[in-house]
Amino acid sequence: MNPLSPFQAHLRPYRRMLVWGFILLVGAQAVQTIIPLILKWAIDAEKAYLDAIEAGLPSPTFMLVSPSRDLAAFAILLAALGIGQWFLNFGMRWYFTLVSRYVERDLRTTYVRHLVRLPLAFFQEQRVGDLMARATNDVEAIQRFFNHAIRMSLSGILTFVLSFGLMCTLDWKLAILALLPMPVMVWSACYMARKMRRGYGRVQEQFGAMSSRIQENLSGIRVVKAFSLRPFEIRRFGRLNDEYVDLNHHLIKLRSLFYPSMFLLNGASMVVILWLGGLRVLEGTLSLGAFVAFNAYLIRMSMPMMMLGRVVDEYQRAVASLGRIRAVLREKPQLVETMSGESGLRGDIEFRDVSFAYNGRVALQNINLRVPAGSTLAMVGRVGSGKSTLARLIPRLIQANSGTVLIDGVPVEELPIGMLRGAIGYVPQDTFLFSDTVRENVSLGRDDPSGKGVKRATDLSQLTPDLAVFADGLDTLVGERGATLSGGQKQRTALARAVIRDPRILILDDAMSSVDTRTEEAILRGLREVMASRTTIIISHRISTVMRADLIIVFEDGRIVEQGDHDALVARKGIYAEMFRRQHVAQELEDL
Amino acid sequence: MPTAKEEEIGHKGFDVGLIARLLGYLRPYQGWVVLTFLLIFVASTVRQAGPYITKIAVDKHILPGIVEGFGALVMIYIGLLVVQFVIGYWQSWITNMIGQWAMRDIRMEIFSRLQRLPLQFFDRTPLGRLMALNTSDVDALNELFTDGLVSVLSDILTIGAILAFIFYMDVRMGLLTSLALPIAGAATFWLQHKTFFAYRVARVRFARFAASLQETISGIEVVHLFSFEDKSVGRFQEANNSYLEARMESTFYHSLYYPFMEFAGIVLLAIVLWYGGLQVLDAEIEWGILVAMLQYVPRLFMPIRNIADRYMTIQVAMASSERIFELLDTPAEPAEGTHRSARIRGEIEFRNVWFTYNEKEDWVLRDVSFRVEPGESIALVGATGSGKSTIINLVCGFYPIQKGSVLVDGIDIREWNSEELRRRVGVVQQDVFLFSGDISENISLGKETISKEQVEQAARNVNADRFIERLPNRYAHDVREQGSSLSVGQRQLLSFARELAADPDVLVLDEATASVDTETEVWIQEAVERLMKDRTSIVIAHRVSTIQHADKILVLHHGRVREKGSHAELLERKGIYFRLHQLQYAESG
Repeated sequence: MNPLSPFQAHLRPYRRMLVWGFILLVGAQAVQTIIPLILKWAIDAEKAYLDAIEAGLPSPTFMLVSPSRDLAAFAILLAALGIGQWFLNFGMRWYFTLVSRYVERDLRTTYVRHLVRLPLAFFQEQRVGDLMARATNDVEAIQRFFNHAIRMSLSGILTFVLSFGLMCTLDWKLAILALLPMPVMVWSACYMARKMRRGYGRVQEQFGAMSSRIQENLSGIRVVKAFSLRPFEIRRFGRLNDEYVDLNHHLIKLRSLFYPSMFLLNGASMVVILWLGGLRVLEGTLSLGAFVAFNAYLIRMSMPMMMLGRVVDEYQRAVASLGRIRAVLREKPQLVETMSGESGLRGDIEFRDVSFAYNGRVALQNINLRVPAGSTLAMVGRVGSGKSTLARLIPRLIQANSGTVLIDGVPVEELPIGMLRGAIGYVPQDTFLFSDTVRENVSLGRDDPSGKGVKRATDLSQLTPDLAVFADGLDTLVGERGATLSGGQKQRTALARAVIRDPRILILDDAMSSVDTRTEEAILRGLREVMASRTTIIISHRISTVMRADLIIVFEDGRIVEQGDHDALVARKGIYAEMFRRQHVAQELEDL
Repeated sequence: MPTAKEEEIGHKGFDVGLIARLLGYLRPYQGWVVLTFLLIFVASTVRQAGPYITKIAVDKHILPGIVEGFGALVMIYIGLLVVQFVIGYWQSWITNMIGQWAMRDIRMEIFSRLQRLPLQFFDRTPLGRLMALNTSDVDALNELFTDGLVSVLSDILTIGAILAFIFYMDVRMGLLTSLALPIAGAATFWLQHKTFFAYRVARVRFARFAASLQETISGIEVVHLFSFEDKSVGRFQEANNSYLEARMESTFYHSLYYPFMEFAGIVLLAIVLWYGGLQVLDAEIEWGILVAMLQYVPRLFMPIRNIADRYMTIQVAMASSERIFELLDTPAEPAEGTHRSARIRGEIEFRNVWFTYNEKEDWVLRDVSFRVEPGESIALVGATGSGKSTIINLVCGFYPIQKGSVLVDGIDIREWNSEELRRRVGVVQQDVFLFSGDISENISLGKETISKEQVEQAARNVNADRFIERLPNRYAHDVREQGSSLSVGQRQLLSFARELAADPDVLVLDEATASVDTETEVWIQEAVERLMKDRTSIVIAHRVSTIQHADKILVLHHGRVREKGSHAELLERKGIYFRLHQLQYAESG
């Protein structure tokens, strides 16, 4: 089985780079394996010369004239190999890291591109932090694996095979004996890594418990203060904190065993070389150079063996992370085709027997309503009575459980969603601005080189006078999600964003709650002109906002309980009339 | 999510003052610290004895051909291995535990500090930032203590031990090897210099794309409505690519550095082979020294590389510790008064109080004066934004007032010990915060002094038992996070029980406006009456019955007290109260 198979699709575009990286890696490993051999040759040559002199025998032949020159030649050869290895290793690292970074970037882009196309319902079930973690932590885990783990495991395997092969050519019995502790090392490294991961899981759980405790305490800090709960809270947190240290204690005991036992096992190999190898040199069956080479090989082999546990761990994490990303990629996206130009919609809206329930709570019940093209509909009612839900059905932000929403007599589901949304200007209840300039927030990527569209939109939404005060006018940055703007300015920016599209249907979902009444009147006056032939839907708590609408409907518990124009509803003396009376008195009070 | 700007300022590099303050957390464990230093010292030395023993073996036994004593030498080697194992284990264990203990203390200090910070701090600091402080920043410090500092120390000692052995064997070899240090040091310094900026840029860009993604997810509705999908992916891609570029820069330097260190190691090996070989030829040194040297050289470069690796850990920890210390240095609630009292009579007076939540002069309360006698009840009435809730906040000393004074039992609130005062003043807020746990814990709030009987008695007195008895596990029913399983009315009753169990001398009640079913409404009305009985109470009243039962009504308008008196008196005046009454209460009363 190929352990890389889950990642194949993401690696394919970079296959050439991987192949190059692999070739360079093999080269670097080959060079590394020769180095101890050169030490052996150099030492054996010199030893042979010294032994011959001592025994009074003729000195052995040299590559170069004298032993000292030979020595220099070996040293230069070594340095030359060092330079070669530097280049090979550089290229190898560069290619592997490059691939890992490219894969990281691709994964992230693929993920985000898919994510933004998922239906809103998906986002309601997910926490933002969790979706973020996949693009950050999870993608990084995969990057680390590609960069570090692949490189380490490949070079580890090669080091082992090549070194062992060469050691066998020197003395296969000694090689096998010296490497006897190695399997134990590999096994215990993997075993400990697994146990540590389990312990780590428990520690993480406790850490989570501690974090939620802090979060809860901070969210309820008013209660904590009001009841002077400080000592209790500190004691409670202290207990969790102590438990956390206790759990860590277990993990630490295990972790502290890891490196010392690796060193111990590596030391065992060294003992074999020192003892058995030493005896062989003493007997004359092994050369001193081979003894040195054996030692050099062992040092080289120990590191990758110790890293093995980490490699296995990183691999498992990467596979788990990829799984989490794939889970999102498997979600079915909403089909969005971008449409340009005129949609051709007139803007006639009809709700036929529409019902909607969310998590078992009924939000709309059998709504039947028609809004002729070009007319204005206003909706009033308590928070949660169903006004916004009805409005959100029109651009298909949500879908009715039963019944049909029709635009120009066509069910919305049958209209291309890009065309449908392109024809709608929607100003949601919660203003959402991007941390960008006012211009970008109004145009939202629309081409408007002359700036006329933006100008018209800000004029209409009464934002132009405010812009004059801003340092950079339209190019003023609005801060984090509009933090530097007032509530009213934010709402008017969102309004400008909707009207710049010149929509057939304009929906204002309580969109001017933070705008003062005088400015609101000016906005409405402007809108009436522009929207004369278009359909407008206004949701508001202010009677002054809705009183001029062609049709006003009053919602309660997901049902339309009153409808008619302003005069008719006031005459009815129902909920609307009571609202009107109260706001009238409130206005009077305000003027006291 | 910290903004790009914050990240940028955060990283200053090595700061001695910070390190000194951090080391202060090790003081309670100084005995252990000394021990761990000793162990590190012994472990690093013993670990480097191997090649030296090899030298003895080569010179005294292997080459001369003397078997006698060789076995003993090997036994010494094995003995040292065992010693190294045992010491290594204990050293790692103690070091890690010291880190854990210090972290526990820092977490505790942060938590305790947070409990004492004024509410204004929480009003302006996002919860996410405080959570990050408690998790990732404390974690970074842990890395510093257990991995960063100790590893660097152990690496330095290892280099020292290797050099000591080499010098002991042969001074000239020692001098030769020492030459490697400035070269390796220079390379490491060069790497830090080159990557420091690249890292910073990468971090800022990472924060930027994370922020851009978070925004896209949070604003997904707008993205969909305005068909902004492709554009937002484009923006993200741009940020993602620029992050990649920044990363590539540091990757390039890393790819150069680590292989260079290997290269330097091989060159030193070549020099040692050449020079050592010549020395052996001239019989200046014995073979064993050359053999041992060839083992020491590869060992020398490992700790140098490690130090380069740790540099990042230390840098990140520095930034984290700065943030943590900033929190710990945030002033606690204004100087605690010392006045304490077992019970208070419940006389409350506002004397010409002016108050604003911000430093600007947006007065929320203007020259407010009133007085509540012990046992009396007062109802605060006014439109939203008239200053009612602010009065409640000030009675509990949640915010410092700018002008005038608030007196409890004739003593200025600033002279009271705020915790003692709050223990005697009970506040029921509109939106009830429930802690995770069961009903019983949410009534007693974890106070061991409140018995199970008292909890149930309190619940009975405020009619909360009527719904509790219907719950599957009664008092052991889990309310879940944020109490989503209980209705608004039930949560109110629960908060009444919580208040009654605490048995305060003064009751401050913000009556909830949210509508509840008629049955619960009756229970709540009864409960409120029982709560107010025999207690000084200040109530933001919405129910006609509550207002009418109050001894005094205070009408607030735009932060000023405009009318004062009983229900009948105020109605007669035909002023603001009369209008408000018509407006809000007419249809229900």
